Order: sequence, then C-alpha cells, then structure tokens
Amino acid sequence: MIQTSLKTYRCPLTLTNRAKDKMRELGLEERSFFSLEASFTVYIEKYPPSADRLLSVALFFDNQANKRLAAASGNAVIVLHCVAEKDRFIATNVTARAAHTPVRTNWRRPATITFQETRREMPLDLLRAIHDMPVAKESSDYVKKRIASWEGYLTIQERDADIPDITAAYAGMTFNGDFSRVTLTGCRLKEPEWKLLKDLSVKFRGMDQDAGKVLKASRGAGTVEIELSGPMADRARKQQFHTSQKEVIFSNFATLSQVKRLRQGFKHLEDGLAANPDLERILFEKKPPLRPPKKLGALQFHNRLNEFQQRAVTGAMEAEDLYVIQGPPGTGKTTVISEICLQNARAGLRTLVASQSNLAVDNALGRLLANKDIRILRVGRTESIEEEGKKFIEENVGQYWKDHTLQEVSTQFKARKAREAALEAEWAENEREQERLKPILVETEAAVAAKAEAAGKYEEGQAALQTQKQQLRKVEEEEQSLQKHEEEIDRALQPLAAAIEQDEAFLENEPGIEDIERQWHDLQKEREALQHSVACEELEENIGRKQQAIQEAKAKAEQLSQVLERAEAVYEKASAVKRIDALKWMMLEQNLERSARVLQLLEELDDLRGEMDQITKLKAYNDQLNKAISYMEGLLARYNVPFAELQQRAGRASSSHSADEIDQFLNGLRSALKSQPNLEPGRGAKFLEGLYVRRQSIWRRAKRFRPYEEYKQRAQDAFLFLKRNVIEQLRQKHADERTAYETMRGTIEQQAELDALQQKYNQMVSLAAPVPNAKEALDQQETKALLLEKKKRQLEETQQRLEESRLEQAQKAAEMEETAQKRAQIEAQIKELQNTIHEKEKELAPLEEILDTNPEAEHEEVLKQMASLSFTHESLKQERQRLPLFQSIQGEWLSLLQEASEHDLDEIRKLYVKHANVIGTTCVASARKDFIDNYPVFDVVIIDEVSKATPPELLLPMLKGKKVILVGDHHQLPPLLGNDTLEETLQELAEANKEFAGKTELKGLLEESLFERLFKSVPETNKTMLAIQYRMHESIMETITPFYEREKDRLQCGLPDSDAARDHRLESPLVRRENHLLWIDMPNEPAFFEERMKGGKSLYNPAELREIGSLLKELDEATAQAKEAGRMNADEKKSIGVISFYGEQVKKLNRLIEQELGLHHLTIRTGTVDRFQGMEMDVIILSMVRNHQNKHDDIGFARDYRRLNVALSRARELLVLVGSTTMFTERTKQASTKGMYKHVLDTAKRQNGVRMLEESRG
Amino acid sequence: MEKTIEKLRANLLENPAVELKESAVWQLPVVTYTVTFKRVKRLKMDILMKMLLLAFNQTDIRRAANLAEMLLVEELFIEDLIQKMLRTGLIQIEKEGYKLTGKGKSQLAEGIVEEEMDEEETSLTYSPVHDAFWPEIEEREEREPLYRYPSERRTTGEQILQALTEMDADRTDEEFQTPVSEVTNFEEQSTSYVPCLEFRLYNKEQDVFYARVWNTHLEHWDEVLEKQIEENERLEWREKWLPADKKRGRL
Repeated sequence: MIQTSLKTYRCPLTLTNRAKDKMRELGLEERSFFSLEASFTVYIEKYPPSADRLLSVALFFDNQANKRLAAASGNAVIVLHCVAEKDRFIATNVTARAAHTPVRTNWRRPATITFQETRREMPLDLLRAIHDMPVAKESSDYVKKRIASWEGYLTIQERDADIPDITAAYAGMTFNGDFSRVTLTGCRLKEPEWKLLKDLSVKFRGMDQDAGKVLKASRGAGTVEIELSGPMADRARKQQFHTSQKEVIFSNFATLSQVKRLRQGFKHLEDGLAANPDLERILFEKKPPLRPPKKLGALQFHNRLNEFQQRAVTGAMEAEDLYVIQGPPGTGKTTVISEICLQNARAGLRTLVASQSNLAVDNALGRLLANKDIRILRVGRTESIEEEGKKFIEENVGQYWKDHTLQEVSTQFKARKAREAALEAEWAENEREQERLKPILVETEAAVAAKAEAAGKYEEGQAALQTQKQQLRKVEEEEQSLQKHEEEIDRALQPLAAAIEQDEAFLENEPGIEDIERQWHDLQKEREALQHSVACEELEENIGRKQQAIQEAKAKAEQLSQVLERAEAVYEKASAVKRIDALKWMMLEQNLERSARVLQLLEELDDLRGEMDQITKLKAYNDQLNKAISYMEGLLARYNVPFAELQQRAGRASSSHSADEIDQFLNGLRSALKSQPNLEPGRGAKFLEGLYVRRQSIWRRAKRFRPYEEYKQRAQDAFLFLKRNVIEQLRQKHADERTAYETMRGTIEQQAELDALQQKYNQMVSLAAPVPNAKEALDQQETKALLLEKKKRQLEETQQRLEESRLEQAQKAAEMEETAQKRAQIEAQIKELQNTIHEKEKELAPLEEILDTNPEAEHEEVLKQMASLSFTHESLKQERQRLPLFQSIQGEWLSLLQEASEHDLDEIRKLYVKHANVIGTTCVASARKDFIDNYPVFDVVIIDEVSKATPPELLLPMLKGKKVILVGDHHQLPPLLGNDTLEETLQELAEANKEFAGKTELKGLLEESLFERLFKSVPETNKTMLAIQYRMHESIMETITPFYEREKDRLQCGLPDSDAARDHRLESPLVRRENHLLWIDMPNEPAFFEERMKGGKSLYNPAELREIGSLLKELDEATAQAKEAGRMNADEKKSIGVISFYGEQVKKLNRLIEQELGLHHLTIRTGTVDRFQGMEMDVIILSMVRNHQNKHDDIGFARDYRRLNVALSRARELLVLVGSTTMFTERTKQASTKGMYKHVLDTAKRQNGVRMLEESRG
Repeated sequence: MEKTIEKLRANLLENPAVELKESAVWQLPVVTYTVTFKRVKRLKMDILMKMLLLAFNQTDIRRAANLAEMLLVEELFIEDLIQKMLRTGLIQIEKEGYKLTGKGKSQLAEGIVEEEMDEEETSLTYSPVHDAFWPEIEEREEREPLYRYPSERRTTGEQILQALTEMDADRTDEEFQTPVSEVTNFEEQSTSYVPCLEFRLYNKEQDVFYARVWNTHLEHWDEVLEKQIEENERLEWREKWLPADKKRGRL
C-alpha cells in the first residue's frame, strides 16, 4: 500500500474487438475513456503465466486517484485485462467490479500510466517490474495453504453455526435474585433442538430487542436459563417483561456474524489486504522475516519504568514490523502499553489497542496516562464497555477532555498563584545576592592579580635555581667519576704487586739460562751419533728386503715362461679349428668366458643345424617319393590313368604326413608291389594319389624353409664369428700372462741397485760403528731436549713480564697522585654551589606560599554564581512579566471550563474524535465494517492479553497494523471458547466427531500458542520478557518462579520491601502477620472427598466449602480487629477473591458467601481461576476441590501448569490454598504435576504456612 | 393495592421452588423540595473557540503552540479552530499575531454576554435512602408503618443544580442555550410516603433467601431497598425459617 508520487509511464495500448465491445457494454466510449485523465493510477496484478502468453496482467483503475474516471464509471472499479508485449499493452477484456472492491492490495503494484495509441516501445523498467512481480494467485495460495491450519478454530465456532432459528413456546418464567437471569419453564422444543441451545441469543416474541443468551438448557426439567442483557434486566425489574404470546426465538446470529468476521480476516490476508505486506510470512514462516529495527537512541520516558520495561518500550518503538512482549503476572504490562501509546502519540503515530475481551481493552485504556498528547477513543457497543472504558466512548470524550483539562489547568493555576509570592521573594533574594557578590568579586580579582605577579617572580627564581642545581649535579657527577677512577687504579695495583713478588721468587729458585743452554748442546751431540746408527740399521733392512724380492721374481719368471709356451700352442690350435664341436671343446678346456653374444651364436648354430637336417631329410623323402611316383606312373601308364587329375586332387588336399607315416605308406606300397607285382590299376591309382598327396605335403613343408645354401652360409658366418671371438679371448689371456712375465723380469734386473746399496752401507759402518738400540735411546734424548727448551722459554717469559709489571706499577702510582689532586679541587667547588642554592631556596619560600593559595577557583566560583544569578534574574523577569498574562488567561479559561455545558463541548468532542490517536476495541470488533471504514490502517497495533485470543481473532487487528506489538504470557491460560476451555471444547468435539479435521493442528496450537511460537522464534531484538513483578509479596511470587525458569531472565520482585508494601495487617488463629502463603491441608479421606452434581459433570467439595466459610468469618473478624487496633481505616474493606478450578464449586461458594456468612469488612469476588486471569486482589483463597482415592482418576484441570500459575499469582498480600496436599503432591499421576505442587507445598512449608485441618479447626 | 400484591405474589411464586416466607407493606418517606433557580441565555459557542477569541483579544499570539502551552490544550485542536475561524472570517492574521475581525468581536460579545432570565420555580422529589431525585409525587398521608432503615440524608444546592441541569438535557435551541446558572433557594416542602410491598422468599432448590420490594411510585422492584434489607436480615431469616437439622452449610 505504498502511496508515493509515482513515475508516469507512457504505454501504447490497443484494444481487441472483444474488449471494445465490452467497453461499449459498460457504457464507456473508448476514445473518451482514455482521455478522461492525463494519466491514470492503476494497480497491476500479475496473472499466472500461460503457455502461449508472455506476460498477462490486470490493470485495476483506482477510483480514488482517477476522479473523473470514477465519475464516468459510476464508481465501479474498471479492470483492463491485458497482455503485456514489448511494444504495447493489448487489452483483451474489460470488466467492471463493484465499487467497494479493494484495488490496492499487497499482491498488486501501483503505477501511473498515460495510454497512447501509437505503437512504440513499452517502458523497459515497467516491463521488468511486472516481470519480477509475484503472481497474485500464488501469493494468495500461499496464505490459503498456511491458514488452513487455523481452520480448526473456525470449525469449533462454526459447529452449530448453521442452526436455523428455533421458535419455542414456554409456560412461565422466573427471575433470579438480581434479575440477571431468567429461567423459562415448560419449554416445548423438539428433541434434537435442546442440545443446540447453549450460547444462542434469545428474543421474546413481541419485544424489539434481544433479551440475552442461553446459559443452560435442561431437557429433563424442560427449562432454559437465559442470561439477560443490562437493559433487559432493568425491564424485568419493572415487571415489564411479560408478553402476550409466550413464545421465544433462539438464534445463532451473534455467533454467525462473529465467525463471518473471522473468515473475512482469512480472506483479507489471502487477498493481500494486510497493512503490513509481510504479515503472512511473519505469521507462518518458521523464521519470521522481520526487518532490522532502526535505532532511535535514548528515549525520554514519561512513566517510571524498570530496565525490562524500558527495553520493551525502546524495542517496540524501534521495531519495524513486530515486537513481542511477555508479561508474567503483575509485571506492569499496562504501564508498558501506556508508555508505547504516549511515545507513538508524540511521534505522531496512531495506535490501536486491541484485546480479546472488552474487559481487557478497558483495563488497558483505563490505565493509560492522562496526558494531553494522548487522545483515547473507545469504540464498541456501549453496553458491553466496562466502567473504566466508558469515559472514552465518543459521547463521553468531550466530558473526559473537559475534566482532564480542567484538572490540569486548575493545578497549574493554583501552582502559579502560590508561585506569585515566591517569585517576588526569589526576585528580591536574587538582587540581594547579586549585590553581595559584587565586592567579593573585586577582592578575588585582586588576589588573582597578586598571585600572577608572585608567579612571575617565582618562575624567574626557579629558573636561576635550576641552573645552579644543574651545575651542582654536573660537578658532583665529575667528583664521583674521579673517585671511581681512583678506586679502579687502586684495584689494579694490588694484583700487580702480587704478580711481581711471585715472579721474583720464581726466578731466584731456578738455574740460569746459560746452564740450560749448555745441557742442551751436550744432548745435541749424543743425538747426532744415535741418528747415524739408526740410518745404518734402516739401510741394512732395505738391502735384505730387496734381495728376497729378486729371489722370488726369478722363480715366478721361470713358471710363467712355461705357461706362455703352452698358451702359444693353444693359440695355434684354435686358429686351425674348422669344426664347431672342436671349438666348443676348446672353450670348455680353456675355461673361456661365454659372453651373451657367444651364447647367442651357439644357439643360432644349433638352430641352423636343425633346419639343415630337416631340409636334408625332406629332400631324402622327396627323392624316395619321386622315385616311387615315377615307378608307379610307369606302371600305370598303360592303364590310362588320369595322372593330371590325380595330381590336381592331391594338390587340393591339405593333410600333413609325418616321416613315420610316409615310411609306413612306402612300406605298404612296397609290400603290395612285392606280393602283387601287377597291381590292379584302381588300387595303383590310389597308391599313386597317396604318393602325390605325400609329396605335396613334403613340398608344402619344404616351402617353409629357405634354400639350404643360405642356411649353410649363415652357419659358416656364425662359426667364423664365434671362432674369432674365441681367438680374441685366447689372445687376451696370452697377453696378460706375458705382462706378468715382463714384470718379473724387471724385478730381477734390480740387482745393480742392490749392489750400490750394499756399498753405501759398508761405507757408513766404516765411518762409525752403529750403537745397538739406537732408536730407543734417541727417543729418550729427544724428550729431554724438549723439556730443556720449555724451561728456557719459561724463564725468558717470566723475566720479561717482571719488567713490564714494574713499569706499569710506576705509571699507575703517578696517575693516582694526579687524580687525588683534581678531586680535592672539585670538592671545594661543590661546597660553594650548595651554599648558593640554599640561599636561593630561602628566597623563594614566601613566594611559594602565595602560589599555594587558589584565588582563581574562588573567582571562578563567584563568576559562576553571578552568571547563574543573572540567568535566573532574566528568567524571573520573564516570568514576572508573563505570570499575570497566564494567570488572567488561565483564570478565564478555568471559569469557562467550569461552566461548560454539553453544548459547549460538542465542538471539542468532534475535534477529539478527529484527532484521536489511541483507539481501543476488541479484536473481533476491529473487523466491523464501520470500524474498517473509519480506521482502515494503524501505524501501530498493540494487542494485549494475546495468549487469551485464538489466532483467527488475533489476525483481525493484526491485519490493520503496519507494526504489531503483541503483549501476553504463554505461561498463563490459553483462549476460552464461550465458557469452556479449549481443551474441554476439543474433547467434546472429538467425542462427537471422531474425524474432526483440524484436530491435530488444534492440539499443536494448544501446546504451543501462536504467541509462544512467535516469542520463541523472533530474534532478541524483537522481544522482551518483563521480569520484575510488583503485585505479589515476594513469598507468594516464589510459588510461580519455576514457571519462568526457562526464560532468559528470572522473575524478580520489584517491591523494595515486600513486608511493608504487602502487609495484610491481619492477625488470626490461622493467619499470622508474617504469613503470606498458607496451605490448609484437607485430609485425603472420604469425609473430605470431592462430589459430583447429580446429572452434571462439574465437581465440588463440601468439606472445602465449610473450611472456606469459617476461614472467611475468621478473616472478617481479623479485619474488624485490625480496624480497632488502628492498623486499618474504619471504612476500609479487605478485597478477597475466592477462586476455584471448578465452576460448580464457585457457584456454591457464591451462595454460601451471599446467604450464610454476613461478612461486613470484606469485599468478596468469586470466580473460576480462568475468569480471574488479569485480576488481582489483596487476598486470594483457592479452593482446589479435587480429593479422592480413585486410582483411575487424576486432578483434572488442575493439571495444567498455566492454570496453576494464574491461580497462584492473583494475590497481593495473602494467598490461601485449601485442598489436600496428599492428593496434589502424591496421588496425582504425572511426575511433572507432582513436582509443581510439591514446589508450592515446600515453599509454604519453608514459610511455616502449612496448616493441618485438625490444627486449623480443632 | 391488594390486586397488585396478588399479581406480584403469583408472579414470584411461578417458580415452584420458591416459597414465600413472609410479606409486608410499609412506606418509604420522600421529601419534596421547592426550588427557585435562574437561567441565563447566551449564544451557543464552543468554549475553546470562545477562549481563543478572548486570548487573541488580550495578547499577541502568533503561533498555536503558544496558546497550547497556556491553555494546556492540544496544539492540533487550536490549529484546527484557528483555521476554521480564519475561514469564517472571525479572525485575521496581522503583524503582531491573530486579531479579531469586526465579526469576531460581535460574536464574542454575544457569546460572553449572558442575558439573565427570570427566576423560575419548581418542585423536586428526593429519596434520602436512594440519594436520588425522583419524578414528582402526589402527596400521600402516612398510613402504613414506615420503612425500618430510614436515612437522615439531606440534599445540597449543588446536587439540585446538577439534577436541574440533567433534566435540561432534552431542551434544545438552535442558536442559544439557556443553562441553569444558579439555584437561588430550596426549601423542604413536605414529606410524602411511597408504599412499598415487601416479599421475603426462599428458593429451596438453591437454598437461597432473598427479598423483593415493589416500589409503587417507580413501579419496579427496588434493588436499593432489597439489598439493604437482605444485608441486614438475611442471616436472621435463615435462623428463623430453617430447622436446625437442615442447616448443613452453617458453621
């Protein structure tokens, strides 16, 4: 539903003849039609693609934008069915729809188009946009499919919907005590009709209005009990209820119209009429496609909100489409709603506050902050609106506005009047203060100046001082470094003296260098003699070795010469070899190496020999056969045997014949010829043919071979090659042997050398006789020489070192002297500097004192005060000027308001309604036609008590919101249908119709409501749980905290001091001041058991009734005492809610309280737990009813944790449970149920709140 | 009277479960006041418009927001009315702000100036027990015993003014309104007595005691009286009419 200024497209358009006809039928003229407007605002709907058409669309003309067209068509919506081609729209049909047909839907796209006749290009971006658009039908099919899961709800409500009106005669009528109900007696209805009556609306023949609706129909008694509407009850009171006809009409109109509205909601979603175009996906997708919230920064809140409430309000304001708030009991949901409404109003947004029940809507509106920015309007049937909502209905808003404005103005007026005197006083005070400050200002200014001067001087002095100090530091450093230097020298001198002493001692004890040198020379001579002997020995050994070598060489040479001779012979023999076998033998004999090549050659020779043998053999057979053939031909020549033919036939045969077979055949022939020389020609021819065949076979085989000569030549080649190889090997071997021989010969020839050596030896011996064991002696002498050399070196070194040390010692001593002198000078300098500095510091001390004072701060402060005074002065001045004017105008305004009459306010009422920005109504009423017409869309829709509404109900207000805020608590009870819980209804329905369609879906929804699913699936940014409750005393709250344990935040108590804020002020035998949670334990015994109404389903418990009766009397008494003791005001009453899981028990409680108790200090309300959801009381008494020992039975409704949660969380100050602890914590079947009641019992025990019945009543 | 009692009785006992335990006739005292009051006559003009005209006359106002702050009224309302007055020529914008035109001035004068009308006199019937004004009643002597829970309550001038204003609700005039401006005097004229028929009933099916009181002047079952009686006597009735062994629910 985007309505921005749209780009205008120029689109060529042609109409088919059919379209032209249709247009004429509609009374429109083609030419004038398209010139009605310069451009048309149309809504384009895309059709599903068909096989032959490219793009098929419908153009819906918007009558609101196209005023002249609207006038021409009589407000009917004109639809152009078109094919969109590249160059034009082709209109194939034109239709008109009813004026109220919605044109703008989420499935359609708005466009502004100027239609042209000339064919040209279509605007490309429009074509693309159409192309990218979703097909409308697919979108609504999506919704249809998803929403089917909600059908079950409608089925339930529709189950009796098609009941036609039932007319019945009755005999009489009786009213109940307060005329709220009438019972018709003696009703005459058809058998099946009785069942249908419940909840139908009732109208008496002869009365113009509906009387009410059927509460109960009892076929057995022939009675129908009717709940009367307010006006009808008044009528009854006036005895004006009698009609002459005694006939009553039951009709289902109310239910029907409700279901119709719910269905219409489905349809609107299908048709894309939701204000938020993403609504269907938000509702049905597992992960709702939410737009990211836009950050608003810190909001300014007008209510006092805790952190969770602030988070909820901020989140709701920032969310773009959906925000979910979970509000456990007493956590200030309404405050949050109020704040959101106000924030919206300030932001110029219009809000719808919707809820499932009128009561909840009125509760929410009633607690909205009265603020002039919020203009609340309650829409709905006046009679069903509660007191709190009444002031906001249209006829009362003028009054509401007047009351509110009057109050505001008079508060301000009074405040300003009081202000007048105060203002003057302030004014005078202000002027006085300004006068007082003036001299102080002068003083402080002087002080600041003095300080500035001192600061200048001080700075100078400091600078000089710094220079001196710096100098001192430098000199001190110098002194230190000198001192260090002295120490260093001293440290160096000590080891030096020690070393000198040591070296001197050493030199004294050792012999002189000359002695050592002499010893060394002696030693040298001895060594030379020894070296000579060693040389002689070595030479002798050498000679021996040489001699032996020559001997050995001679023997070896002899041996080798023999071998050489033998080899020569073999070589000769090999060269002469002609046959292969001889060659082979030689190779074996000489143990010649067989190279791969040799092996190959040998193999080849063997093969060749084989082939040649074969050829020889074949040749032999050929000769034999030829011989036999010519013999046989000769023999058979005369018989005219056809040789050629035989030969030919034989040539075709392909048999092969072994040598043995041929031999056999020839032998056969020979023996045949031998035994019968004149062979019978037939047989002869056969033999001849056999011969031919065999010869043929031989020929065929011979053909495989090459000519014999070739084999021979190849064999010869191979042989020659082999032989050459062998000879080569032999030659090699021979050469090796010769080389060895030559070597030996060489050795023998060394004799001359030997002689020379011998001669040299003789010479040496003659020179000096060799000493024995010379080598060993020489080694000893060498060692001695080395030792001597070392000693000498040591002495020399020590001497040198000593000299050096002495020199160094002298140098250092001189240096030391010098340093000491320098240091003395510097010390004097230091003393001088220190004195100077001390003097200077003394000079600066008084300046420092001045500087330590802070006249600037004082001056600043005075200035600030002056500024603030003058600012206040200015605003006081303005106020003084303005006040009389305000006072006079507001005074007039007050008196006008005070005497304003209805007539005066009429105009205001109109303005108010026109500018109303918070509208409250029920979910179903938000779908009423007049409401939709007045308020088609809201910026924000807030739905309260969401968990109590069914999804189809919720859908109705949701359709209207651009943004939807859901507030509820899925840990409290789910929706009621009529007076029944959904579970009961479902059970009833399942019993009646086993195939009830939506059952599975409904069961799912029962387990996890729409609210719960949304709360769980939206991201953190789009939800909050309000976790601080302000209703219950902390001790009561403890009973329900486990229900919220799985949530992100723990349920906390926001009362700063529960005991003070929730003091019930009562003292009685059962209830002590500190008790806030009590469980009165009924024994699990027959005397205390539950009972069932005759012929009814509902249960009650008489023992609990008695117990609660006496408890109420006790509390009444205690309240009276509290009043006497001054703990309560005399006219105050304690509000007590008496609730039960069972309706029958509530009825009985009601009667008991009204008829028998006579309580004067209590205000009592009774009701089922389900009906009490949303309410709160000071004290709650819960009658739990269930108590039995039936193994097959359980605790019924009390099993649902949500029901228990609601029951436990209604009380502000005191909660009393009346029931059997054994029944609920031990006998109940499911462990989880046991657990939850056990927690309640344990909590009560901890608080000393469990009372045995004996204990309580004796 | 007897006929009425009989008819009511039959009606009440139509339900066979209901027993009539006792019935009584007594009188409820009501007071008739003579009241004198004054009306004023003035032009119909809604108060916000009148206030705006007054304000424009008194001071320079250029923006609706300024007035909104002074009057504590929504700026939107003021803006709306300013536009309307500009359209109808009651005001015009000048250099210092909005100023009244001649037409505006005369209308304002007519709207403010109230023409005092002649004093009127009427009588009102007041039931102290109900604290409510009733339609006029013809005087009736005290014949039956009086209602046993009378009230000493007296009405006030303010209540009377309000009652008169409410009675005016259907007075309509196109151009002028004539509201009651002041109650100049009121005096207790006389005390009348409204006979009432009381039935004390017991529904045995539901074990319920209740009272029915027929107010012969208003001609309806009087809830206020029934409640008062029930609250005071219901427990006694149970003691009185239920044999001890049937008091199962008693404590």
